[in-house]
Amino acid sequence: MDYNFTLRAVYPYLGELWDAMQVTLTLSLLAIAISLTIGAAVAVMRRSHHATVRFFGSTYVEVMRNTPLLVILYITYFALPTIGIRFSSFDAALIALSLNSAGYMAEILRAGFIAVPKGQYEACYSQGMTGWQSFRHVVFPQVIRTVYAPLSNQFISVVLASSLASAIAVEDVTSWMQTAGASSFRFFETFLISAAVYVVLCQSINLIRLAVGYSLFKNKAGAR
Amino acid sequence: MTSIKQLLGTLAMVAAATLGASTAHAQEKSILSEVMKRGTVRIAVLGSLPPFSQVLPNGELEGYDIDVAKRLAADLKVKPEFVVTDIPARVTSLQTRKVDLVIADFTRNVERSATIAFTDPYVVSSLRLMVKADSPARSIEDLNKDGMRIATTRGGTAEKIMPSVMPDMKMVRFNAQADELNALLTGQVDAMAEDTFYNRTAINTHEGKLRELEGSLARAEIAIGLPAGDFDWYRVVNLWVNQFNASGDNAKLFKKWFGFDQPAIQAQY
Repeated sequence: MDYNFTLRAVYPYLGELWDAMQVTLTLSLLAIAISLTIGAAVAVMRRSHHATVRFFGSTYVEVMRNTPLLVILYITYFALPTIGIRFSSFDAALIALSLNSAGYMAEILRAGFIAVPKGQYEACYSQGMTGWQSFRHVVFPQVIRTVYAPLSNQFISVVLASSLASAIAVEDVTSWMQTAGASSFRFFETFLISAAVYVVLCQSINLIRLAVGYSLFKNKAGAR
Repeated sequence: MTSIKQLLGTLAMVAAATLGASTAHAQEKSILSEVMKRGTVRIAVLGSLPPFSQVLPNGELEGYDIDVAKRLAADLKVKPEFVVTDIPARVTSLQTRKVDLVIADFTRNVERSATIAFTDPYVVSSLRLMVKADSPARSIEDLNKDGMRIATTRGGTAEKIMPSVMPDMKMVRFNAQADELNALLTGQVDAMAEDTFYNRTAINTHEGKLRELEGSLARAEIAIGLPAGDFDWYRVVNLWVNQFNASGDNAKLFKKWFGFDQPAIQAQY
């Protein structure tokens, strides 16, 4: 093995790494927010009384969970322009990542709804609560408590999946890794730095989630 | 707690071994004598860049670079042993001494030359812009404007020189030439910057859809790559390149694979 490991060779490229980190973070946070919203809507659809609505909800989840993200990225960036719908690299990546992640978010939230015992709904009804009141005061607080920990898995998945966006010309951390590696011939160093950056980004998002959890549940057990 | 200490100890040992290994080969013999003793020369080539080189369905290799490699091996009176590699691995396979030579559409430059060695060029190409046939652009200057998007590949020669040659455009980076071409054909970019040999092939396959702009962005000197620090090996291979160019054999091989005359190798100052 003849490889002279030195981080110094990568120093000139660190300024671009900072920009790349901001792209990865913005893309991931926006995708998490959008996919959580779409996911919630789909989870509600899957619990609807109407069979057609349930069917569309289930179809969405299964299509998104059974399609590689890379294929969805290629469709939004390379295929849609041929029928006149054009998105920039970043927008196409945000759309693909959000649609894909929403499939998983929906399933996590649905599990949260299932975990609320039927008796709770009946109790609300017997107290004369409206549908919205029972959702806001009884069901939703329990759902959020159940799904809070499993959601962190999905948040991290979104950050890691955002690395695929470099395939459609998004200048994220993975793009930096390939560009800086190729121009400095220091692939080992750029690979290691990128791995460390992803650990830091994922953990930062996880820490924010924990902090929000503590203030939301007022006890430590609920947040984890 | 102990397991964490053990883990840290192991990591420190691995790091020390990696750093220490870099000085270990200083006393090695010349590749020249190793090749002669072995009777084979290990040559890195690309697997899918016709007409430079490509792997056929039966596993055989063919192309201009392959013929150049075979000719060189024959003149050294050894057998060629081909190692199929990709663009980023061209430099690392020499750094790690996995191969003795790289003959793989390899453009030489000072930056790469700080890590590995190059012979004199055996082909000189140019970097040119390719646009869609119906594009309003007529010259390089037409595209050197705010809002113009030009596709390049990460780690390629174009990525490095474009910002200085065309400072006003926006560069859009992809991993492979196929993605660049896709982006150009679907209108995601206004042009792509590639080797003129690649452009000519693409223009022929997508008849009537693409054209190349006048004017060259950069001169690309394609040369044979060798590990750095071995003068004997460099001396022999470089002499072979010069004689291969001078004899006219190179021009004949080029015409056979590319179908047009080889551009002049000597630079005009």
